[in-house]
Amino acid sequence: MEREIFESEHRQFREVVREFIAREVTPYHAQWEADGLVDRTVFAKAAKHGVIGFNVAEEFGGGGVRDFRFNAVVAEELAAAFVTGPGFLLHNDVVGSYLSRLPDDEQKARWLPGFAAGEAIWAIAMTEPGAGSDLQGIRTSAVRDGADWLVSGAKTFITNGIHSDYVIVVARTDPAAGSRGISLLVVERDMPGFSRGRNLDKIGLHAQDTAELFFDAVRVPARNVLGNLGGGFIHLMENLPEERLSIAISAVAGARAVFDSTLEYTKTRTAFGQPIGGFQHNRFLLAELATEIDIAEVYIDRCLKASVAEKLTTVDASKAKWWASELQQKVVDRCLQLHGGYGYMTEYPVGKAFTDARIQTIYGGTTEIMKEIIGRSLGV
Amino acid sequence: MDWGSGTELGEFRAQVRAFIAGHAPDWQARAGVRSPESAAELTELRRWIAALFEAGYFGADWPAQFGGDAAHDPRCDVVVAEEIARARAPMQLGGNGLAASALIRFGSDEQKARLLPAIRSCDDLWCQLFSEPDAGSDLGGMRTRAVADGDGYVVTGQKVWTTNGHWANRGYLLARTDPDVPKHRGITAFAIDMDTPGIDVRPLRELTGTSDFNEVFFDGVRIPAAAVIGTPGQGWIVANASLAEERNGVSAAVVDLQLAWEDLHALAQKIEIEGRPALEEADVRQRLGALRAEIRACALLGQSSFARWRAGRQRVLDAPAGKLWFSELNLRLHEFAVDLLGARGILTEGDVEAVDAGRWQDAYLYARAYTIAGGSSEIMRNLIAERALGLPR
Repeated sequence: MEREIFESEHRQFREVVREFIAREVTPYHAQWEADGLVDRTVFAKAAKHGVIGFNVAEEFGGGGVRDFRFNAVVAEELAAAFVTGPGFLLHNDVVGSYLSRLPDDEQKARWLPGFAAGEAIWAIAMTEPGAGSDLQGIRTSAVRDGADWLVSGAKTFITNGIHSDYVIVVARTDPAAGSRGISLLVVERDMPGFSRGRNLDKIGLHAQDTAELFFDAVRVPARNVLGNLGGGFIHLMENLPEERLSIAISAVAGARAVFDSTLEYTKTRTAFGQPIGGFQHNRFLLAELATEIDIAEVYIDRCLKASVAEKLTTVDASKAKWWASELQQKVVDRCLQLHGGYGYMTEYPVGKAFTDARIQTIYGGTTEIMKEIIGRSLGV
Repeated sequence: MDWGSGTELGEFRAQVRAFIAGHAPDWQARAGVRSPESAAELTELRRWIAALFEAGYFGADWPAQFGGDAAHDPRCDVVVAEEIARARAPMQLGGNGLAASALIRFGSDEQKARLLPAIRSCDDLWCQLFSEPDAGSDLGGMRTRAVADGDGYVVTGQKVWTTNGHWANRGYLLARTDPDVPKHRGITAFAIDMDTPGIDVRPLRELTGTSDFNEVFFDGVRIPAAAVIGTPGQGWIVANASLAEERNGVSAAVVDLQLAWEDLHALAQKIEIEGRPALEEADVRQRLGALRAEIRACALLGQSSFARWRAGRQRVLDAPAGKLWFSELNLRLHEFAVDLLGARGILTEGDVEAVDAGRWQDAYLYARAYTIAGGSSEIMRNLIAERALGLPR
């Protein structure tokens, strides 16, 4: 189905992103998967071409464009190329969003130029070993000491965990104040007491560094508090709809990419004297998947439109997130089966997509949490 | 299987259980049919399989002259398979089982005398060379050629999904010897040496991160006429006879499912959702209950199918229905397990935080192989529809 959401500037941007990925990412991706992380210079290269940092103000070297359709283009092109390594979506959709809204002028001058240029890599540390989707259960603490804060605790499943130069740490600054006692503090690479655990062994996303981070009384100056003291929970909530939309967008694009390559496979692979796509069961299955991907895309585009108008609600974003990511699971699962034994090999895109997609229904809030949010909005 | 109480099979089961406790390798088998991961593991495996033959727990259905027992009760085979599965010990190597059954039914006296003893002692390791890049579920489409040449054949082509190919010294090969007759009739079965010049074995890497399968390339490989199992052109019948026995192993698979369910139940008590054990969620309990019922159905399906086989009243749908139900149920069970693990569901073996040392992820990923290998779910449904129900093709 033809999409109505994009305009000519987005289509031009798509060409730039596609070419950038083909030239600077795809040729190295297998090596990065073997290494367990990307070559960090790809961030600076991406910034040079405007693939990341476009939502930072121009005075700090960014593109000065706040339009989530550009974020969507990056998410879609990465997914279409089966690229899972560089944490560009985290950079643009999550950290970029925080850094364009929350810093004061002094912080902007200090942080934004390096961020926009892709020279500084950022991460955000929310999840803890004991608290996954449940942000209320955060135990990492920040205790005031003179003009500074002493941050202590552990975080896990942190994307860019190995590469990051700056980490936005979600910590409890007032243990008595519940969700109003949570703040965001920026921990820098060389601060004493900050250490990294291992790069986690995951079933998918092998080129992405995902790590544990440890904070042992890390002294963080007050000027590194991001946003309002005690306002951390609200800052996180404000950004969640876009983060979830970003996952939904990459889920639909990922599903489409796997579907397209599988469709091609079922046209060329023959068994019992005919292309396997010609068997009615397979033809119906492909028809069903094509329909569902189109329907998901229409819903995503509608959310994208709402986002551009700054009207995207948490409930609608939650619906998009769980539905699209579960659809992606279904599509990669059925497409793997259509590939037979080849689907089970890591050298075929569908095999990799199967393991890479597994996290989509989990991070950014699990399917179960999304259903809780939607269910509560229904008054039940 | 439940044979009722107070039978001599109960005593036999106790003996088998004690034997396994005393002789099985001390590692836990991975999910599914896997290749040894090291030479040391293979040595252990050989010792273990040989001990099972020596004790009469394997090969009791063989002809007496090769160590079988004429008074053998086939229910004992079920008990042995179930107990090995229960101990999570390694099972008979698939290729050795297939080759033995083909040789016993179709092999020459010379082949039996030469090859069967080394299967008993597990000095020989066999791989199955059936599937090809363009002939998996559609085995009749195979293209590897064996061209008669003097007193033997010259083999050229490629095989794939060869479990244990990188360890095996013997191969059970199907190749096309007559391209001019309809596709099932021109195929011949061979027993070959894997160290014959011209054979190139290349391991593949699978979703699980392990290498259980191989590609095997044949480039002008010369094999003797005495390597033919049965007669030239009989390969399709030879292969189907041995595959039918392979599809008869639902009883051990049911034990695997029961163990997995028990572990899943323990997992649901251990995993917490918002500070409470997952088992306290109604949704989780319902899923567990449904899975338990489906496993019971799988067990009964296997039991009734075995009873019909013993009475000589086996139905065409018994084997495909068992394989289909097991493999799809196994996939559902492990999908649910990984769901239950939440974010930790993505951590694999090797990561210290991986739950139960990553066994859920390994089983989840391997579950995809079960719905494809040994005849995919689609092929099973076709067999049921066309051959058992007589629906139009």
